[in-house]
Amino acid sequence: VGPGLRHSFALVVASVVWLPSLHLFYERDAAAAFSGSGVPEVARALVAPALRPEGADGAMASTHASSDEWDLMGRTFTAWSLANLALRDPEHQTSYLAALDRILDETRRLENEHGFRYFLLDYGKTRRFRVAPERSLFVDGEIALMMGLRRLVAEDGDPNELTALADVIADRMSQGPVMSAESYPDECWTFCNAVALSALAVADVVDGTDHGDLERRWIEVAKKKLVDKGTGLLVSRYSYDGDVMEGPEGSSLWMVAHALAVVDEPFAADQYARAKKELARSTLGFGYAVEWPDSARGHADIDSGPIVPFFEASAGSSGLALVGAKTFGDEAYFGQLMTTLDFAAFPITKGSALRYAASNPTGDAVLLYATVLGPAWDRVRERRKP
Amino acid sequence: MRPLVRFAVVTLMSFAVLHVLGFREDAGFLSGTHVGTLLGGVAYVLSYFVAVVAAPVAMIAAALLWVGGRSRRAPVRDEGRRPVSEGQRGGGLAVAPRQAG
Repeated sequence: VGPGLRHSFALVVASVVWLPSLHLFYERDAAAAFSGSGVPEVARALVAPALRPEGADGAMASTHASSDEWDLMGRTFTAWSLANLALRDPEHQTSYLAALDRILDETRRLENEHGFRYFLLDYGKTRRFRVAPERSLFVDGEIALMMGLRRLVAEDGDPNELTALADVIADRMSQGPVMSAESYPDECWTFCNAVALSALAVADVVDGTDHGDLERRWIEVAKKKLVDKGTGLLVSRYSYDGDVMEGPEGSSLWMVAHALAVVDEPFAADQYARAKKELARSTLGFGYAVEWPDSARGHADIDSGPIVPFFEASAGSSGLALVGAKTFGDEAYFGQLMTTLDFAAFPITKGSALRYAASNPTGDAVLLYATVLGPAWDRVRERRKP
Repeated sequence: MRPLVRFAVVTLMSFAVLHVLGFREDAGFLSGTHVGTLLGGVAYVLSYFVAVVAAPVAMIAAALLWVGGRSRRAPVRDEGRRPVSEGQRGGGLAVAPRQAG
């Protein structure tokens, strides 16, 4: 046997030994991060910057240079996480709620001072919306959910603020030809409409209102007009009249399924199962998600993040897949995604705080949310039972 | 065997140098975030994946070749109870000479 062949054989054997074992070096106790109670260690480390007296506003504002949307989403995912943390850890509820209030006040101050377009991408800053007065459901829905979850934890502050915003959201969605309101001029996003519906569900619990009819009609219309025929998955973007502009996308779908879990759980679970089939991947013990189903490929954008060649893994879809997996009790996939996070997202620990170098404050906020979500949705479901 | 070990050592050292120099912070380009230098971030990420995926494979392969080489030479020492001659060292295809009688 020649030395070349011997070397090749040794390399093949070494690969067979090493590559399937690699994930073992990155596996953490995913069960702790998956648990529905207590505060997982990873969450405690991720939330640390938001609990400092100066808060995490500076870090969130820094994302504004990369994406105006990320600024708002970083704030909202952190606020939603803080509400869940307050429910998980009542002993420290005061500090979680103080941090949540700081974020909520600062976000609303920015919206009041600069207008809602402050949080929109450039193309949303100048074009005219179809419906007057102009508003964005992206901004309204996310802020409403912040306000709603805040009140779900503890009833204080002005209850009329949420009621008024929920009324605006419900009116604008009801007016739409496909029961949807614009996030951008003549552009509706399933993500934003699903988040808005979940905010209305929370408002129903804390205000005693009833948006059940709007929710049912939205689901009906979505099943008829907003579902991709090939995959059965909800599309991500459509015009105000309901013309599909972009098919199913992982960076939308996982969150849509999560948000709809308090609106129509069977439909949400079906969307998760379909998304798992079409978008979830696992290689050598590492879990990740692609952005598009094979049958409806799109192009990389700010939502998908860069696509990893060959594997087609999307940072945006993979991060939000954690949210979906946690919501629907998919512990095995959740664990594999967490393993990939430690392998490929470059965690950096400084003192008690953790962040991921490959991510940004918005991505870290999504990861924090994925590790703590659960109690708020449980409370909404419990209290909405007839 | 030596080229494999050399490859592993060089890639591990390259990664260690980039890590110590703080280029891990620049990996934000993976999420489309503008942090640090793109070149430093790309170099860090590539060196990291080579260090954790390819370098261990090279080291294991080198270890296998070393073990294989030793086992092929072992009968000479056992049968002859004498040191392996220079001519037999390192020649993977060399057949151990049998003792006469």
